[in-house]
Amino acid sequence: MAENETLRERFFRCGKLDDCPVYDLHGHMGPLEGACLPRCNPEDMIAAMDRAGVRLTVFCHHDALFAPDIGNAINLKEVRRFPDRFRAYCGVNPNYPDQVARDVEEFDDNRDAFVGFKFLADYFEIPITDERSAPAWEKANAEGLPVLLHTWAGSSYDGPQLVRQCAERYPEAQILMGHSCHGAWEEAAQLAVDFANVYLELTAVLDDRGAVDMFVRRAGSEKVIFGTDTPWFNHHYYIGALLGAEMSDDDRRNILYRNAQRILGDSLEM
Amino acid sequence: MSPTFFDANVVVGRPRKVPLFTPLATPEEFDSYLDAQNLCGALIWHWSQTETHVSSGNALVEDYVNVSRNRFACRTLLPPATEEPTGLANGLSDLSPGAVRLFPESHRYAMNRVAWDDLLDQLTERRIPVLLSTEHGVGWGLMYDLLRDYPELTCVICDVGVWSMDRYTYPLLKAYPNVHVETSMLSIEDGGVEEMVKRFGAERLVFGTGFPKRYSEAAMLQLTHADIGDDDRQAIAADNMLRLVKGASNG
Repeated sequence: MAENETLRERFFRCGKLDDCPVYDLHGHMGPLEGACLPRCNPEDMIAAMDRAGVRLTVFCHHDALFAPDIGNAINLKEVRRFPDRFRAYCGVNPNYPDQVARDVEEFDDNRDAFVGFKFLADYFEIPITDERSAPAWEKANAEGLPVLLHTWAGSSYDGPQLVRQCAERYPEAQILMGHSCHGAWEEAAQLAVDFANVYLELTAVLDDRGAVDMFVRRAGSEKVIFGTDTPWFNHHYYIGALLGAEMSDDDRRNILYRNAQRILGDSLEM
Repeated sequence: MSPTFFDANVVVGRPRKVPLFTPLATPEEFDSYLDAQNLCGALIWHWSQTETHVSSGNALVEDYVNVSRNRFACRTLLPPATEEPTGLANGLSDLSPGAVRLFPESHRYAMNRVAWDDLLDQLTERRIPVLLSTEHGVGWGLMYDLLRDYPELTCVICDVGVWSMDRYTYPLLKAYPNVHVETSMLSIEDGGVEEMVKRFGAERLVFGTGFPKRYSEAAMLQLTHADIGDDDRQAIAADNMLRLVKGASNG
């Protein structure tokens, strides 16, 4: 490696870098109704991770989110098959509050697999502020756990104003705004400025040139989290977008791994 | 191996509304983009082709063309019934080398033989590629209609996303031998490029970035490290589209 070689030059040459690992904090797993996903089983996902130097993916299996009759058992099963490569979010579907209460109650028994919670309010059509989700929020708030939200501009379930309410109500929960309130980029950046516990997550952001550049300018790269919706989106595509955005290599390192390592903390040791 | 890239999907000029991204507002900025990314050329279109009128858009895009340096244009056509001016002084002869882009949503027309009569037969005969963007109003139904009526048309499907894209594109690739897919958004689908190469061959894919709306490094890094052979990589990166814009068939 030449002494002054940039991350861009090195990623294009090597594809992955030992000194710049990648942590993907927005993943899924398994097939889903609306798309053909060529690499959605865990073995193929790991092969894809290896090609791009992705050390760890934190995911919530599609079945855990969309099939109440399967639920979080599938997350536990897959993490325990591949404990060096995956952690999971405990999926929260407030349409089934009894199940939410059980999952929260059993959360501590599964700390080897779970790092926090995943909400998908636009799909469940229940706002993130709804009381039926409160047990998960309170657990995350009490223990400073990550909560990965699906967030989208104009949504009455997980739009920026509702994220603001949650950030005020649960100041210790680490709120990862999945998709960064997609389309409401300025409001999302302002939330990350206003709240120490709110982060901008990049899934479905990086195919819009200019957004992440603005996030780093406004909120700082310490508030930006790398995620790809894997097995939906390609790691190299997302890394390449970061290489093309206006920011320093130090910023890119924050986004690709340092922030995730800080947020996951002890979860990485289990 | 790092391939040589030709970008088949670049838009130039300034759009109607101020965008989040910085546009390529002048031919000099376009040249700078090609130099900065070390691209061997590009196939471009101009915002005014869809947002203003075919004739003004076709005139504006000419400022960016330099065939000797592999800077080619997509011109835009309208169905023949209204006999409107398109700004093409020499008619269809002005289209080659280069390509055509159609905007059925903003220009409000149908995509079938009733609307296009023998005009698209002439493009087929001349092997002029027609670019159809799912981001710019060419829905899957329109595409299926068009190809049913013009099955030999050389076309490139651009800006495909991940939501069931394969379920829409695979039947078209299987049924119509001159259908191709541009990779600026295909490359975002994990495994999308590799799967398509495996099923249909690398000659059916052409590299594009979607710049300046999207980061060119994204599609470039994906293809550079895609799990395919180096010959296939180079074919996709530049060779296939250069062959198409110069009017040659796959064979």
